[in-house]
Amino acid sequence: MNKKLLITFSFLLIILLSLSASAEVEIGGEVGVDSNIIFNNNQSDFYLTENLNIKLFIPQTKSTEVKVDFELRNNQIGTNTTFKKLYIKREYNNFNISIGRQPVSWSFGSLINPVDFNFGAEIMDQSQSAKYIDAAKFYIPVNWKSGVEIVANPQLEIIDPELKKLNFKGTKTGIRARTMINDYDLSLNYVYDPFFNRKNNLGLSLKGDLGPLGLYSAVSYEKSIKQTIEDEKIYLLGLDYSKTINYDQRIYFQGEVINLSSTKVIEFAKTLLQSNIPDDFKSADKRYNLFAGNISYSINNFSSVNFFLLGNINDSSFALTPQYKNQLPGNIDLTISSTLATSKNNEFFSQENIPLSLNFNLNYSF
Amino acid sequence: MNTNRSAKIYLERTIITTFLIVVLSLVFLSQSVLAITAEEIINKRDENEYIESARIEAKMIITNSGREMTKEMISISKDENAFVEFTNPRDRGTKYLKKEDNLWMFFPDAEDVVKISGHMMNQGMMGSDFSYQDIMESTKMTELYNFELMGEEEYNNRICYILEATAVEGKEVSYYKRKIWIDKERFIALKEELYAQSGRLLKVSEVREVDEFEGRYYPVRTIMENKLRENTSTEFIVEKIEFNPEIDESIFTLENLQ
Repeated sequence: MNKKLLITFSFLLIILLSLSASAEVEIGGEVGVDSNIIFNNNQSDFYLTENLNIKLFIPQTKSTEVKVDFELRNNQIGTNTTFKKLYIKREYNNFNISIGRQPVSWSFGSLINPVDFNFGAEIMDQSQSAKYIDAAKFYIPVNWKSGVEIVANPQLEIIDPELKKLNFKGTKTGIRARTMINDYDLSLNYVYDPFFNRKNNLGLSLKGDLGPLGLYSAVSYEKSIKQTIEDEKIYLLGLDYSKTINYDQRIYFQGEVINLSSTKVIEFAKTLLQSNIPDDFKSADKRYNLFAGNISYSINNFSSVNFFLLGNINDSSFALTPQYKNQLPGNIDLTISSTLATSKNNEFFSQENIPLSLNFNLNYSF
Repeated sequence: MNTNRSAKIYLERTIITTFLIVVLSLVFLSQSVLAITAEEIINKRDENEYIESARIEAKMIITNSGREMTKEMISISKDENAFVEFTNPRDRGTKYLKKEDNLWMFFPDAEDVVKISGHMMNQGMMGSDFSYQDIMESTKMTELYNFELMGEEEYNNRICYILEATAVEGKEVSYYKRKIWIDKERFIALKEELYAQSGRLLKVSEVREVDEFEGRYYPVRTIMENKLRENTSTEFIVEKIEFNPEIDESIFTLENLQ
């Protein structure tokens, strides 16, 4: 642990101890260590990350709530502190508003969410940093199951790092209307993004039950205002199902098919698997069918195995992420996972594009 | 003289007969008053254990071969609706809303609200031996099972009725058959054996502690032992309970969940 990190830790510890002693503020969070080995071109790279996540549970009044959640990460590159949450939420008679750094997530239960405010993937509990943004969020409830959410996300750019000069770039805005019709969760989302080719994105998602199965679907339509890029359409259809075998062993299955353009598929794969998929796969008229599947099996109350598969139906290549989780004595979570691609050739999910990786993670919640 | 004697004998016989009739009638009457049916027993149990509305602070201790995991929660329920929030460090802020037949979950990190598929209702909640249905629903037993009184037996120094419950055809239940020991005096289920349709014993639940709240008895410490795995059990401890509190309907909304 370097000097800078030690000072930061000590400083934080002093603040936290004095806070907890002086007020009814409760402290919680996680401390963990993550080691990652990536095997690429007959060589292996080892990455070690220590992380401390602190959540302050500040007593809330009837109408006001403050949330503080920050993360300190230390690895070979250096020490990085980020606020995941630092916002105030206030409730009024007909609406509530929250201002500050906060998560904006429009999930509906899919593994990959093409209709999120920022692209999101819910796979294997990965918390996507893109979800935490500086924003003002209004929520207007209509009845117990319906409401409208409006998000304004102003963005700044650093124009002079030395003078710390900032320039206002614009505001990304979004609106989500959500309700339930015939026990189906239905949402209609619209996002105006003034950055990256200025585009409008309209999305529709629904989730409900079809007999013993969970069924969900989403459609996204993206249009560039400047007409600099092609319009983008994404279709998603998914199912989930759970079964108890041998009376008490639970198995859960979720699978979905996503039809999307080559541009989007590269963007998705890069975010989901941190892959090196080259732009050669981009082709104006080519569309891909991706399959995302997840099977989890609880071995007992303390341990489970999970398999996440992301495959390209067009060329039958896929990447598999097996994961084993165990809660060790002392409330420590152990997670071992790996990502491996099947194809050696010049296919989408080839070993060339997705290097073999092995990950060990130990986490303690307090 | 003979006439007088005969009259006396006749009077004595009449008195004895009348006395016998009265005694027999009393015995018969008391028998019919005291004979209790299986349905009456389970209804009396429901009077104690069925919750119309309540606020409960509870703890689940999950044990598996010496390893232990504790989950703490606050649950607010009214009729068919329930709201549960977990408060232990690992799950702090995870919330569930059950409104009618729909189950919603709030993920605290991303502050996401997601509708949970119906098939999950019979699965163990947060890795425990209690299903979402067990924790979030209080259903009258008579609506789900047909009962038969099997006899009486002493259990933990208390005389109990033994009932056998078989699922009503067409009803979705977690266990097809139950054998229940109901305290004869307090009408609390002290022990339950839970069976699959095949007849296999799956779980045994035993009440270790009962408290009296405003004239009703309620189990406050229950151990559910998983008979399919050795040394595996979930202990459910009610730390605080308030029956029929004032509950604002706004608790059971998606707005409150997030």
